[in-house]
Amino acid sequence: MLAIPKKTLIDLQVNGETRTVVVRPADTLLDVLREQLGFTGAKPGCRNGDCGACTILMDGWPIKSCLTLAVEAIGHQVTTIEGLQDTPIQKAFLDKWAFQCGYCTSGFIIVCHALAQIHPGAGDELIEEWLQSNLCRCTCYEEIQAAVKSVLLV
Amino acid sequence: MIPFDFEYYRPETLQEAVELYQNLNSRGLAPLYYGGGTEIISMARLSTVHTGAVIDIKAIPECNTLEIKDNRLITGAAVTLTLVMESGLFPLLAKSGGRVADHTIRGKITLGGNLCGKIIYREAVLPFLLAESEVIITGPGGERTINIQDVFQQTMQLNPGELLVQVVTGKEYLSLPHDEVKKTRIDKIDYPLVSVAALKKDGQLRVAVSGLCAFPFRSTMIEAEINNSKLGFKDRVNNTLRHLPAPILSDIQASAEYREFVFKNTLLKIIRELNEVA
Repeated sequence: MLAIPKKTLIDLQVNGETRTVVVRPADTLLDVLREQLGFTGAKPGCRNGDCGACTILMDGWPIKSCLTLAVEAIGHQVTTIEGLQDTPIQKAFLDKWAFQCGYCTSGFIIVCHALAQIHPGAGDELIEEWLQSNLCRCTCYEEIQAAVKSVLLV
Repeated sequence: MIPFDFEYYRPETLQEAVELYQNLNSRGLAPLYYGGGTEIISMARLSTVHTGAVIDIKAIPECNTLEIKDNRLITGAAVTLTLVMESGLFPLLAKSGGRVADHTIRGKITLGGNLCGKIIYREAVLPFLLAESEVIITGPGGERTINIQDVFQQTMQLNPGELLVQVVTGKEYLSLPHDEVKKTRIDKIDYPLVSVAALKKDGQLRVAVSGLCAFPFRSTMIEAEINNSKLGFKDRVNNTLRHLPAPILSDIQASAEYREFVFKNTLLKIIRELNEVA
């Protein structure tokens, strides 16, 4: 049984590397990624699971790191936007101008990447369902949709 | 940031989890069983939930079951709503659970968390109420299996230290004609003004509702009105209002009058559509 009764050292697997951090069990994964490991691509937005700016991958599935405890990630593979360098979806976002201010972009790219990996043949309905998890206040939704479609097998 | 400390445990067996609960409780830590944690974290951040320890059930094999075995669908309490949906095993559950929060959050929200949480809508319970599923619960007093209609009375009636382990549904219910409609105020992603799930078995409609009152419910009296073939559809729907188990909610999302209007139209649509299905 994993037991973490107080602030302690733990190992996390982030972007393929083992990283050691000091956490309170009540610390969110978002805060630990940003403040201890410098992975600032995951953005604090609402901190309430609504905006999606903090989205990362856990074992390949998108999750909101503001609603995840860092200790929950023990034993799982965490991927942040920093771990998606040179992926097709990054280039697609550039090619399609799928951002303006960029604050939401890392969250959107994470979701789009996961969708392309898990459902490479996703249609409009599935794309919409997945992308509804994230908000873009610059309203780049059309361009974001074009970007994800360009990396899907449809 | 969560403004208080708590202890974190991830047991690997049900026995460990139950014993741990008793131990932590005896230390005055008011432990909480922890599934996806979305509700606990968001409420803890606002100090509307306080605990001295959480017991993460996601490493317990029984809580992660999602399979059909012996003509029964077994869904573990730690299975996420996304996995339920992706499995395609129970289409009505996929629809009811598939409109809770958003897709990414549903990858964290567990079935047990939705059924046992504090947020009043608990839409994943609707298909189980219609399918007369059985619930497996374990706790300090041992394991018990009980019909969900007997244990879900407005909320899941668990004794202190008890843990929802699995929900078991007869395979014959999984492919019955069904419908599910969730109406929200504006956005697709929001709490429901009204969420109605319906199942047709042996020519009779079954209906369960969330969002209309302060708790989800299934009512046999409402179903008797809906299935009263002596009346037209509109009269049947109007008569259901006599049997609501509690006042219609009136809040910032919608007035009670508007909710009633939406409920009646939603129910009418469902009755008409399923009436044409054998």
